[in-house]
Amino acid sequence: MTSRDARPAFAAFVLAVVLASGPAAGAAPPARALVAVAETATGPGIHLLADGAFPDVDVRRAPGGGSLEILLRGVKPQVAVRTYPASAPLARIRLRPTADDLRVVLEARPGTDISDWRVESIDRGLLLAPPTSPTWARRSLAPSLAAAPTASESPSSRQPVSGRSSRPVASAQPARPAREVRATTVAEAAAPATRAPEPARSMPTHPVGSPTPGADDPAPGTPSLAADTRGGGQPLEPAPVSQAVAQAPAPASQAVAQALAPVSETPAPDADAQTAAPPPVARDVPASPPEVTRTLDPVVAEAVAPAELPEDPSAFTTVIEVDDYRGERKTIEDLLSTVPGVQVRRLGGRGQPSEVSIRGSTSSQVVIQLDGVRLNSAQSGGVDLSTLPIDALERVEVSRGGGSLQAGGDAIGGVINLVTRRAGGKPTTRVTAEGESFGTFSGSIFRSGTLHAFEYAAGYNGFITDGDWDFLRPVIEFAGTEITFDPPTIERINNDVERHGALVKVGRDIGDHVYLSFTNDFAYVDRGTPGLDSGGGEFGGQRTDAREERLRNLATLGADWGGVFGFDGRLQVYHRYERTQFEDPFPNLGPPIDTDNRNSAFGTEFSAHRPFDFWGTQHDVLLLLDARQDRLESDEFIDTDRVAFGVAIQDDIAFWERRVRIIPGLRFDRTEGFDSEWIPRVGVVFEPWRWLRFKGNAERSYRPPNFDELFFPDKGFIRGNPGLQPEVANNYDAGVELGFDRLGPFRNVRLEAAWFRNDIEDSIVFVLVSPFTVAPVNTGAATVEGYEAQLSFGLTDWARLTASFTEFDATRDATGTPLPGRADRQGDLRLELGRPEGFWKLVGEVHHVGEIPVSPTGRSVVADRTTYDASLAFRLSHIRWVRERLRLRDLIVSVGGTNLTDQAVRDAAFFPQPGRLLFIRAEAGF
Amino acid sequence: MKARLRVALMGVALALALGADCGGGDGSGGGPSRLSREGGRESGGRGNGGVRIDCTPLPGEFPPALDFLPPAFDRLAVANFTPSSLLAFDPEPRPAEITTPAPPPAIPPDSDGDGVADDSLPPFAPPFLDGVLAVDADLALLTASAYEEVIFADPATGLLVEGTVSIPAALDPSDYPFLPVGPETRTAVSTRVCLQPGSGAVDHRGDPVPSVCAAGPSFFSSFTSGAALAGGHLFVSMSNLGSGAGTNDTQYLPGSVLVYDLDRSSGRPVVSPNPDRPVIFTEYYNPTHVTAVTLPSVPDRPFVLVTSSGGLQITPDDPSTPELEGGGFADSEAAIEVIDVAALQQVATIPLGTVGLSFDRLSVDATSRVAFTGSAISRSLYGIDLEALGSIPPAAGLTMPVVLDGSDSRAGNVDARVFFEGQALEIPPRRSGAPAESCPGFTSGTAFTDDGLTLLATEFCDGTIAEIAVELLGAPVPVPTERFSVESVLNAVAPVSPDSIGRSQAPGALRVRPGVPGTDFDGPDVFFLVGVPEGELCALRSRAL
Repeated sequence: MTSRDARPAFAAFVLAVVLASGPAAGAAPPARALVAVAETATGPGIHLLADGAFPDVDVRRAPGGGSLEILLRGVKPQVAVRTYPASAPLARIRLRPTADDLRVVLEARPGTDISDWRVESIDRGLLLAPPTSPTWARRSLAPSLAAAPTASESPSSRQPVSGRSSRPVASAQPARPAREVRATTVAEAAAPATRAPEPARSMPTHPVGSPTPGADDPAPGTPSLAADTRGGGQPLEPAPVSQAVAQAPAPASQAVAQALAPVSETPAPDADAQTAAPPPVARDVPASPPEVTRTLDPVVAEAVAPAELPEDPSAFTTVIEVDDYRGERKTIEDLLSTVPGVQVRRLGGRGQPSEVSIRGSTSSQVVIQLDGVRLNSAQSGGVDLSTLPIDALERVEVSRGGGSLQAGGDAIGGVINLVTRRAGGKPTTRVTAEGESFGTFSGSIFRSGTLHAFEYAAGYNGFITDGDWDFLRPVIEFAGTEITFDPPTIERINNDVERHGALVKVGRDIGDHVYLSFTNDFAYVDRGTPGLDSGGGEFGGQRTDAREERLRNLATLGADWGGVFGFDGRLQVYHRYERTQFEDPFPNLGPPIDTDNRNSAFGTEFSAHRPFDFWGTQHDVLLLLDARQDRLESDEFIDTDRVAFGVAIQDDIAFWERRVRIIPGLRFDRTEGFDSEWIPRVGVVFEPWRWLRFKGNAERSYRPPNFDELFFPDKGFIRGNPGLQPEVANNYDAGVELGFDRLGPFRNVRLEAAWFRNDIEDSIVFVLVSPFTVAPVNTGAATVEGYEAQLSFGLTDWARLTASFTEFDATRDATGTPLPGRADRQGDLRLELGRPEGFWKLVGEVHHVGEIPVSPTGRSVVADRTTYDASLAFRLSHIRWVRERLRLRDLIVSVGGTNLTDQAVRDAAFFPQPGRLLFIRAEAGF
Repeated sequence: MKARLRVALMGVALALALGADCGGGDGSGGGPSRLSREGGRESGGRGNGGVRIDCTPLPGEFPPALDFLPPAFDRLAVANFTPSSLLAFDPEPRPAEITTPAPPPAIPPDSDGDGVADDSLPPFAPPFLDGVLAVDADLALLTASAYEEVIFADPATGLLVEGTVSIPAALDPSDYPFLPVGPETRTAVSTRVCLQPGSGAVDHRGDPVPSVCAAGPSFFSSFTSGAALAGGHLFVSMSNLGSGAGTNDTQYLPGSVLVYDLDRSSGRPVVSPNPDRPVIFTEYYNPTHVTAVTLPSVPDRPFVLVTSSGGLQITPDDPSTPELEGGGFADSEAAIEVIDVAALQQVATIPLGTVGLSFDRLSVDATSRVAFTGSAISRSLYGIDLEALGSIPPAAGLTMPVVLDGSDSRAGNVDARVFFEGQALEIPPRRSGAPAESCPGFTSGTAFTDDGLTLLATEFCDGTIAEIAVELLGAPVPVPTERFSVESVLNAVAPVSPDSIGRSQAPGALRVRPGVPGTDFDGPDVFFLVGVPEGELCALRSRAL
């Protein structure tokens, strides 16, 4: 068979292959584990790949031939798989596990009859195929597996085949059907996929350009933006399976080989009959299987049980896999700041407040979610990034551009979803410890696994710092001269931070279709607040005694379901509590401050979607409902609360063999105290070739004033403004994605570039309103317009380079003056040396931040800067002694530094940041 | 598990041991962060009626004060707020050019040179410069709140100037905890003095004054607000704010003027509290400035006029209205209080009503006939006729200050008031100016042109400069109000309003360069400070108005 013959079917290969060591501890091993589903290489058909033959199979054929149902007794699904091959006769495959059995339902496309499909039991599973299809054979399967990764990777999803998770399976927020699927560990895959719906089509920050060993080694110039399931894609040159297997990490190779080798060449004698006794399993599956990752496209549709919500394919989304930065000292701020379009404003060193801006927004115009539940305080509007622990996160999803249709109010700049590490799977413990300059220590421990029917994850993270670094006072240039502070160098005082965080997740299946989960995230911060260094004196105006305590707890009860009346969905009920205590016995102005603000939010979010075909177009309708009550109790504010709710509907319409997709949507939103808002949006995707994609969006978004802006207590010199109106914005963006597996000497070349424009009406700004008072007011229109780009490619299989760049103008319409606090440009460059999962990894990064206007006129700016970071990590678990004697699955020790050239860094005029910082870090997994 | 956990813990210990304080940088690798302020700007054309205004950026917002350096008046000293510093400018070019050698220094933490960082004392704040008094080309006096000092500085370089400071033997050193008993070199004189207003003293609300630093009612003086030189004395006004400064409920303790003796015969300032009358308590609250005047009619009897603004509060917002209320209001009466310099005694009071006088020093015309100041709570000017001071009886015969409102027979029932409560000189509001609810008015600076024919006034809220024609020749006492007429109002900068964000706003202190424009100098003669969004020194020619 030639690759051309196999092309149509190969290109629709679906899943990742994950071989398991067996069930998680505490759970009875199933008779058989379904580990993969793939389209057959020889034509329409499905192969249920297992770790052995299926001993007991029932087949039920629906009248009319529209569906075929196979009951596999004693079989557990170990991977969540869904295929949606556009060119195949199947509309979808449903995998519905019960307590002891697995029900596989094949649904035919309208007008297609699959009643005569044969069901063949083979030694590695089951073959379901039309009666006329060729006999299942080993020679046909091999190329399909080999070709699949190349054929199906999207430009944003190419990930290394590695022993670790490198692609998100899901986001915790409602999502549109993604066109990428990642195989996960058996443990991960066994969890219902709806707990972690697919992220949007996205470009991961750094690992995007990571070469994919093994199957991912296409011929130069081979475009690979997405698999062409339309049947008309360019020919593929699938690598032989041996190559794929050989280049995968050793255990993975073994697993794949075991999965493939014993495939029977003998068809079942009677396709309609129940299958014969299976042949014996050739080899056992390794006890501790690695993960093997494939990203696939186009694909997808529904999960084992609970379903994923569709992801918006037109959104500009970046997914940051936290584990891709193992061995590096990274904070959430560090990761976000390298995403194109995203700027982080740090108001001090590590542990001190920091905020995020997307495409020139304010921090309160960005919705930050934890597992899909918003963290934004109704009081301040924003989220202090420094209170978010990175060690508890699996990934960070950044959706740039207006996101009010799905996230509701506040999402003018975009949405950031922090996805915590998943529960369940093989019992795993991770420990990290880090020490760095300025008396800074941090550590975490995180354990996940399965106990009886419950999947769990629990972790603790802690951080302390003295923060007693010296810093240079700024030099102020004006009128052709400059002014300096005396003394020029002082110490950051009252800058200690102590932070503790804990995450607990528990979940289990309820019946066949529902997964119930409970998540609790807790964070506590106690820190000095030195404030500005704008004054004179020994301390430069820093506050010597001001302190802040913050406590946050988010409890979420969630239910995910799939296949209920054709709908997959999610319901979450949450309660968020935040307490902020601040005291400054000696403020610069006014009487001593001692405040205690307690914010709480009680809310629910419901989402459901259903794909269907209609008049030759494919649809995926998404319905969203959310409501919450925010409440503020305070000893300085008048207790206040308000209710907000919204309902939205969105469709994803695909036609012309999915070359064109249109995503219209409409949301009705109402926040108590303000007029209702109608939020329309439309997204468009045009994909003329599988290596080239255009997309664009137009959306309206808005942000109601927060409690601080409305009701800040009248302290005389500062006060709130109850008369404020919401900020409203029209967001537009358009961009292009390009992807090549090989381009000249470069591998895995990925480029994403986007233009964006936000027209903001009635922007809210604290301004001087009287000789003695500052208050927030609606200050008229502002416009942010610019572009962002990200490029990544592999130089060799051990060198990867990623670059991102953003430049924009953010101006007030009336005056043409810039919006302060945003750098006009920002660029990041990262070079990573070392093979993925190799013994060593050397990383060098360059960060450039342009001039930052610090006054509304734009005449005062913080000068641009360029800083350099580097780290060197050793994976000591490659040493046999470490691996075998210490029985550590993973041990990484790393050293490095940030701001190596010791630049004086400031994001705001009078908030210094530390200079050069050195660290040593250890991570262990067992 | 235990073994693995032990190894993990070992890793933690290793990280902690090796990482602890492994040495970081101070950010000196590439020099300090640079905050750049764009060069000068020029505005003109329709918005300003064709008047050219040139502005020079300043390092910080809300520059508080400026003054020309005598005797040549060819240099302009500007007090900068953040960082606290003194800058000198050449007023001739357009825009004015800084002449302070780079880099101009900020006021150091030990601003008085006594070995103690001044911000290590309550209120633990940086120095808030309130005013600058240019003594001569070599010495400027900076009044600094928070530090509570009068700082000696060289206006040409911005550097501190050493002087000699001591407490006279006749005074109790415990009342001057930050002054040396014997003469010592200092770069500032402390104004933090234990004040004892006497039994029965009350604050502006009528509540008793607490005992803080001595038996009986006592408190430390605070909010050093202004300085003036007269008769070899340094007069320093102290607002003496109590609790709630900067809020809607500020307490005003009895106001005071500290009297120091200043000797410059040795070339360096030698300063000590006056042993006879170190403190003069004012009758009215909140002394915000002092101004020295000498009348042509009584040249041998100099006076110091104390601007007692009265208790000022910030207007709270009324949540029942959609508008955002702001501005200020006065909750006690204001007055100009008159100190006889020779007697170091308050000899007269000119009550002006509950008008909330502004904070700049009084503007006196070239003939010393009238003195004006603005209002901190309205778009109004208030003035007095200085000729009336000639009616004040000798200090020695006064047990109580005379009241120059026409009611005091001891002063011949003379009335010094020209514009006062109910009879203010109103500045017309700007069309499309500041919202009346939030910014009802603040006449922040006043100055007479050199010929004395024009009074200029900056209006903070509207961003205007009003030109008031003045006719004093042959005027009776008090000068009839008809002798003053608003000629024009220049839209100098943007009004304080939501639409003005990003534009220069909030004009403040105003000074006119002595001399005849076009004859004595070619450059502009009217200089004013702009507060936000960035501090600016702006200039124009008065004859262009």
